[in-house]
Amino acid sequence: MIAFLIRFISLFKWLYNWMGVDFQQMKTIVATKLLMDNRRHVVGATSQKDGNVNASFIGVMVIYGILGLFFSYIIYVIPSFLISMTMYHSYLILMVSLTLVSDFSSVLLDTSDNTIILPRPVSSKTLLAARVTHIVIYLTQITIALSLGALVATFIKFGWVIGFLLMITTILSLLFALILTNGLYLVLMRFTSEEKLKNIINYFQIAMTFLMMGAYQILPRLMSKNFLEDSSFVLTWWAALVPPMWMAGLLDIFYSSTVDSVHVVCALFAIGFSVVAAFLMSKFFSSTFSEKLADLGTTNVAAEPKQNRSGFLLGTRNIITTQGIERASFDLVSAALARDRKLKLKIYPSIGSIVILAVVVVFNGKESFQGTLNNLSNLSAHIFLIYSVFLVIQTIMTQVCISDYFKAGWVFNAAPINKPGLVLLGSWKAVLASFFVPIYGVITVFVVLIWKTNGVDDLIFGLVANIFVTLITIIVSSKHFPLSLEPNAKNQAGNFVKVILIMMIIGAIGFGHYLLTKVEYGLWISFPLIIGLTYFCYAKVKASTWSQIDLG
Amino acid sequence: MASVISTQGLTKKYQKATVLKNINLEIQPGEVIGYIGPNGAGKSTTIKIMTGIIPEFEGEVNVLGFDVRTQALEAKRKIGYIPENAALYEVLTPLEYLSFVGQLYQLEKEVISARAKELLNLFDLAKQMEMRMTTFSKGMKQKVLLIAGMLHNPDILFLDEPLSGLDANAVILVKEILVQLKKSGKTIFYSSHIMDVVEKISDRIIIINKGEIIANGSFTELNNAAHQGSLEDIFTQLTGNREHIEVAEQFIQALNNK
Repeated sequence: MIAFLIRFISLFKWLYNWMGVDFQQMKTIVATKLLMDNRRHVVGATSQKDGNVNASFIGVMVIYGILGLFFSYIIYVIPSFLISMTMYHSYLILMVSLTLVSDFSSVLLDTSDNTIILPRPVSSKTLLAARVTHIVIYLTQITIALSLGALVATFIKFGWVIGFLLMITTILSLLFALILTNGLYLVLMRFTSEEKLKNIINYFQIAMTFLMMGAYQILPRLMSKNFLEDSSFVLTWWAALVPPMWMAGLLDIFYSSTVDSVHVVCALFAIGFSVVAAFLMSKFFSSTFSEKLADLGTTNVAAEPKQNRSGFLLGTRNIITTQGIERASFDLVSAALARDRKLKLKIYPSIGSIVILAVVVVFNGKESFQGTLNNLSNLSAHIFLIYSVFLVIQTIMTQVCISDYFKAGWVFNAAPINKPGLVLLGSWKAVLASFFVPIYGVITVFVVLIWKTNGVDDLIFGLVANIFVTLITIIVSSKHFPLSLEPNAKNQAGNFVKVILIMMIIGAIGFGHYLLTKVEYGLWISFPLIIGLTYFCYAKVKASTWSQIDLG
Repeated sequence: MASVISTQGLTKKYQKATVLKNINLEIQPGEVIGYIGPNGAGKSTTIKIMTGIIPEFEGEVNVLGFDVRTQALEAKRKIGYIPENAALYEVLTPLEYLSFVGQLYQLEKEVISARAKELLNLFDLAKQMEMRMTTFSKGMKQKVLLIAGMLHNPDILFLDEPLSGLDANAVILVKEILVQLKKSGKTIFYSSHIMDVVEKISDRIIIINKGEIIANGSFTELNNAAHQGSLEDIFTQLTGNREHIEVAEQFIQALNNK
């Protein structure tokens, strides 16, 4: 595969030479980077074989492929050519930019290049060309997955001329996204520190993951909206401000044979922007880019002291934890939850999923907003909502054991800890205080607003029941110290059977709760029971011995 | 003879902090320079500027007659740089990594492969040369880095903490290699914390503290300039860290505090 890609790049040798790039050096860098990409995510990273299959990459391609199929459907059903094309190009630019920021930023901002490549006689132009080529190869693969469905649909519906032109505008969109993100990086690097830059990228990654999940739920809902069925949509002057419309306008010239000023402006923008921007990038930005990058690794400006954790967390900490081992574990985990970017990246999207779930549950029907609201309070959907919190907490509890700095977990083994259960409890309490309490609080407000006082007993019972299930989860799962597991595929996935078991437990509890609401005072009568069970589990976790701890 | 490295008024600022203040150095061909200073004194920054990695600075820096600001590529071709903290692409094997670096210097593939194999063999890495470096110890990575920095047979060698992580045998070997390189007329500029090594192999010792050069001369010169004892003593005297006995006592005291 790499050999093929390199041979393909060699076709453009003249182009590189013309830009003043040292082709041999560039080829070497790109080939090495591709080789490293292939090895990066391979499952079972300890094997010494040259794995050419990148499991996670293929996974991404499949997801993108499915999204692409969805767009072939959009192109097929939407009567307005302009609207379908604008949607397609918007989606393409959005997906590519977000992928670039979220997935590829580690490659783009790899500071190890500073010490490895910068000391070698490689001009910044060559290095930039290597970076861009590497990115383009990556993007081309992704774009093929994203656009294949839409391209096929276009070829079938509009014929080969439009289909061929769509291939060109797809490439133009790709260039646009590339320039957009590169420009974004340059601006960010100019004005912010490395730390802030990484934070911003982190937010992009969270948004990306969130969007991917939401797209499946929200896009089909959009489909039924009326405005998409309007076939009389025409281009107006403001299309010049919307890049995807440039592409749509360019295509529309050939589709509907309208040549007016708006169409021409769009077409010129579509082609002109990419060319001009590519020229500017190579002319002015290349040196700035690698200089800024060189600074990224070296600036060691003392970070301004951060305000340490919120008052709420500190207050609860002193109440709910005992001095010593448990509090230490609580402090460590709550700090990690607030600061570790990878942890945040895994946690926040799953919180987002609750929001999506709420929207889906609440606004499922085709009725008006008010009608839905009136109906809702008669349903028991809030029980579903209450127990969905557990899914998030479960994700966090699994993730909190995994860390890039898992090697630092030796402290737990070296310290004279007589009750390892206290470490588990401290970590569990930190998760509850940092995430469960706030999320449950929001849900409480939401439920009280819609179900009024009817939901209060459910909320109280659900609160204890949720806590009970988190404890059960700790008991049945293999017990790990926080931040002490290596982030590999095996640890990430968890034990499938246990996950199913836990899902069954939460399902049973939720269903039991629903049945109890049918019995008068059912919840109140079983309340002491659930309290008792919770206390029993709590004591059980606390009494965990060293032999029960899985040291990974 | 003309200096191979010359800096005039070299000053480097990061935002508000001044890391290097008015550094003036003239280094002759074939000299071995030991560049020492406490943590954060600006050693690595000096080396990064001299090797053309950091192009933004004030003052003039010439290496082998090339202005590193405008002719960095020409200078880089003839210098070798060995960074600290084992920065290399760990997912590659030593052979792949060396082949990568060699190609960036535009060496012939056959030359790279032959040299890399021979040098790895001399460094006792023959068995590991087709294994990925993820599992390597710090010392093993350091050996690969040393080879990567010298593969193109540079005229000047810059080493940033070259001995960190190496075992005793490797330290002796590297020391000997540096001595041999010096004999063949190469210039060596290196920073280190290991004082007795610096004392033994350097022609000249430059001590830097808080971005300023506070001593510059051979070991005997430094010794004669009223400071008696080993390089370690001279170093602690010059960098104003004379209270170390007192600090150590306070340290023990603090451990016993209730």
